[in-house]
Amino acid sequence: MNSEEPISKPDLYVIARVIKILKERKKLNRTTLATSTGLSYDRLVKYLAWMSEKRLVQFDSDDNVFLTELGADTYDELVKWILQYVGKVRFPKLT
Amino acid sequence: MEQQLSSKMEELLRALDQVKKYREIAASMIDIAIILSATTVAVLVLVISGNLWTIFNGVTTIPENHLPLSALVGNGSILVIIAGITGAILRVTLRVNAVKVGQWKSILNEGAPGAIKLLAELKWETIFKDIRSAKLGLSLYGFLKTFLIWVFGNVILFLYWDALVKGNIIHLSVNPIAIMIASLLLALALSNRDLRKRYEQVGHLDSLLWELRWFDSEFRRADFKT
Repeated sequence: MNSEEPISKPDLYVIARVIKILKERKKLNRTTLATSTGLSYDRLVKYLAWMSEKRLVQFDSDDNVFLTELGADTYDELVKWILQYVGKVRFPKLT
Repeated sequence: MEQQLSSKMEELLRALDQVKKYREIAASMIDIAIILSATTVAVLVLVISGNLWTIFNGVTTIPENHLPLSALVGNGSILVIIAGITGAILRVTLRVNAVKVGQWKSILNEGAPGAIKLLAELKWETIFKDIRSAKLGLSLYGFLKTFLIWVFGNVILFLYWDALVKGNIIHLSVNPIAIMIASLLLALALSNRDLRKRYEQVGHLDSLLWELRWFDSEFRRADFKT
């Protein structure tokens, strides 16, 4: 992936990880967030740009990242959406 | 809600781990065939050697201790067959136990992101193929076990009936058809529970296949909008 290229098809796992960490830690600078999510700094910046564009995250005056209400709701919606499908599957007892 | 998702995912992944184990039974069939072929060859070598001894030495006892040769060959064959069957079952058990399971646990501990990652990494076509292989493996293994008990029962009943006739304990000549029927009934009685268990497992795999096919098609069609 070219470092200048914006994210066209974001990885849901990465987004969920970023949101989950921001939910738990409230506010983080980019370097700490990159370390916590296990992403490279460049990749995280791209994701944050994409998420900011979608109004999932915002930056304060110190350039710290925090989650918006929409971001928190989106995460809950995502979990609900997956559960809607996985929850319907009945797994037989295989022993 | 996140906890609910994790536990549902755990159920799914545990079921898939079990499928992996069952699939290994199907993959072990080649090993079983080799072990049983080797057992058959060993029994044949033993019987042919016994016959050659009789032809060349003209006696049916071992000179040093006057053991009847037929008893020696018979007991030797039983031991070889027991070793072969035990080896085959042991081989399957070891292969099944060696299957790596639960490798998803650390990822699932991440919560919802882990569940998303694991779902994204599932290769559905491979899973469906594995379930089909597992069904075949379980059925074959169930029948094979019954068949082996039958063969083993046949050999034992034949040898002991023969020994009783030769020792003048009973005066009915060996009846192969009666032996086959008796050993078949014995095999069915002994493996009844196992066969029923296999039947239920195959049924469960069938329903798992249908559930996952539904899930795959629904989830593939669905689109999450941010």
